[in-house]
Amino acid sequence: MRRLLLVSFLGVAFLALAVSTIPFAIFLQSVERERLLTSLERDAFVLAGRAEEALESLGAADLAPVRDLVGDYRDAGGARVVIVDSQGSAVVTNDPEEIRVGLSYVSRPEFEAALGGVISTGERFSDTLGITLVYVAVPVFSGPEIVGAVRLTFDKAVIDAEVNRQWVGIGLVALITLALGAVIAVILSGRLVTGIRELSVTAGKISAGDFTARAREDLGPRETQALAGAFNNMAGRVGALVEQRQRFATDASHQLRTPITAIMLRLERLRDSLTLDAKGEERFDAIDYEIARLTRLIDGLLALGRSGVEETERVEIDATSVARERVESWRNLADEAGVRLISRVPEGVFVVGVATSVEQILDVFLDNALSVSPPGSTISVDLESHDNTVSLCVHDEGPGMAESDLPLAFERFWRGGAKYEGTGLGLALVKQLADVSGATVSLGNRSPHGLTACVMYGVAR
Amino acid sequence: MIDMKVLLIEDDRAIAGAIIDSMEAVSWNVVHENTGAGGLAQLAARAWDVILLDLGLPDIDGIEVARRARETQSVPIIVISARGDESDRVLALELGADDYLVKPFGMRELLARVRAVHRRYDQGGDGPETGPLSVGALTIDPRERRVSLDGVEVALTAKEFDVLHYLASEVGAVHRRETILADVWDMNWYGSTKTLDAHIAAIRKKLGDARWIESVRGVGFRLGEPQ
Repeated sequence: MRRLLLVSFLGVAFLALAVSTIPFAIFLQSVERERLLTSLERDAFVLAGRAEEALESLGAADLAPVRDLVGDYRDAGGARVVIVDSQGSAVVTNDPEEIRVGLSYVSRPEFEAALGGVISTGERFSDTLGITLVYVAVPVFSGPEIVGAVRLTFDKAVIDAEVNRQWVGIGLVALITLALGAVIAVILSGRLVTGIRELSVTAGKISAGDFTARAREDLGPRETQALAGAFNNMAGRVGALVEQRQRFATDASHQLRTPITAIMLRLERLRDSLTLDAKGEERFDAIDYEIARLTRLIDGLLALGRSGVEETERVEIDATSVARERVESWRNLADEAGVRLISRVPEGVFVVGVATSVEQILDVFLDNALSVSPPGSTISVDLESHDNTVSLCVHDEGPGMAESDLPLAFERFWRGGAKYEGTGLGLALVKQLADVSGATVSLGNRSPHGLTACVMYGVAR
Repeated sequence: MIDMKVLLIEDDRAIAGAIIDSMEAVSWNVVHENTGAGGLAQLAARAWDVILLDLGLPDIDGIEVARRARETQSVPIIVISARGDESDRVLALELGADDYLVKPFGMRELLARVRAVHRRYDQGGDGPETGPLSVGALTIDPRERRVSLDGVEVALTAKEFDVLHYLASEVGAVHRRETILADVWDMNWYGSTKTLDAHIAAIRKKLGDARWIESVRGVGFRLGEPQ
């Protein structure tokens, strides 16, 4: 959450900076170039004006002041200057040695253009100097007549250096802005996140069964504080509901036990006072059976109301020992029913869950399996370790279950189409025990027939 | 056992009526009180053979009644309660109750408990019965926790012994599944009641004859000598 906030905050800042800074920098570069060319052009015209007379007469004495002028110009940090006559031969340069005086420049395109009366600006690579030049060439007019041309050249690298210097400045400003943004983002996201983190810790406690946990309501922005307030209200109500439910289950089951006792006592009394034939005994047995079922149902409801509320502490359980012990204790009952009970339980498998959950879940699975297993069939119990989980499965060779019924079987009072005895609470209890243990339960049909019931636990870390 | 004087302290008239009816059928003399205060007054006024005490009384908590009764009288107290939690039982037994019967229960079971508690008092001790029990060829010795059949020792696990001993407390009577589970196991057991069936099956196997313990379908089990 915090990382997301930081990334989004800085991302937006970066994007905003990029969108504004990059075009600005490009604009700055072109402005700089324009400015330089314009100033070169102006200088060229000034020089052309000065050189006009000298070029008309082409006397050596006349050229001297011009030579001094361009020399001063160079010394003041100006550009290289070449002045040619109408034939294109260099008459004045400001190279220190003036080695190029007398050379013909008529082949250079900018001179050709300038001698033709056109101002020419641009940049090109100079083979002679081995650098890229920015140049301005202007004609020198004497009246309508072109008497020569002036060319100023500048090393492009100098312009680039100037532009780069400005880019670095802009970049630095952008970086400082980003850094400030990051500091603000860290502070803000911290403020946003502490409230949420507090909420998540509290929610964790509540889901672990501590309904007295409350979140602090003075952390983070107003919205988070409001959320914490609402969350605390909700936690209070849920806690009260859970307590009510638990109390209801307990009270109801206690209240029901008293009238059932009265019925049982009266019934026994009645039975003793009657002389019954076999049919009559059978009817009383049937009533007894229903009373016993009612009692089991009440106990089951009580257990369901309690499990997952009273015991929520998860501990490490020796699944190997529990599974072996349970299988042994069911073996005799399986023998009586003519059912083979086999187990594949490896050594030293530990799981994490509510204290007695493994044996209770395994008992319900075995109970269900045995009640549907025909004589001569096999029930197998498999305990298997996987990467981060342990599965405990019971496979039977009974009739299996309609696929559409599989998801319903963990619901309360679902009784497998009422074909089998039971309260319909066994698998609901399994589900509840698994839930508080952080485990998952599943049912699946086997081929050709039969059912697999599994519980998947987490392992101890 | 004729003319046993029973004080019943129970606020629920329906169950009180049923208990009185059952006890009068065996010619016991039952006096019923609705409240803890009334019960204590009756206790002070007359001598009783046994007291049946409900815990959920309207005025005084049943446990408090048991504690006060114990201060002045040496009379067997059997608590009858809808609350089967281990903590409730332990507290009641600690504070002087001699037995704890969780609702629902049947008449035979109630009468058997009353007789057993009373017998213990007659024998002068207030500890549990420790003498060996015999059912035909079967002998159960609670003190040594040993079982022998025709003089040959049968090796039972601790739970199997508890179950067999429980069934032997009244031979021939049907012991309800839930009652056995509640008394031998504790009520923290949420799981399958078939756990009990598994133990019964083991005991039958070790006794070599399944007829020693008869299943009463859906209700419970009965111990008896194979006929």
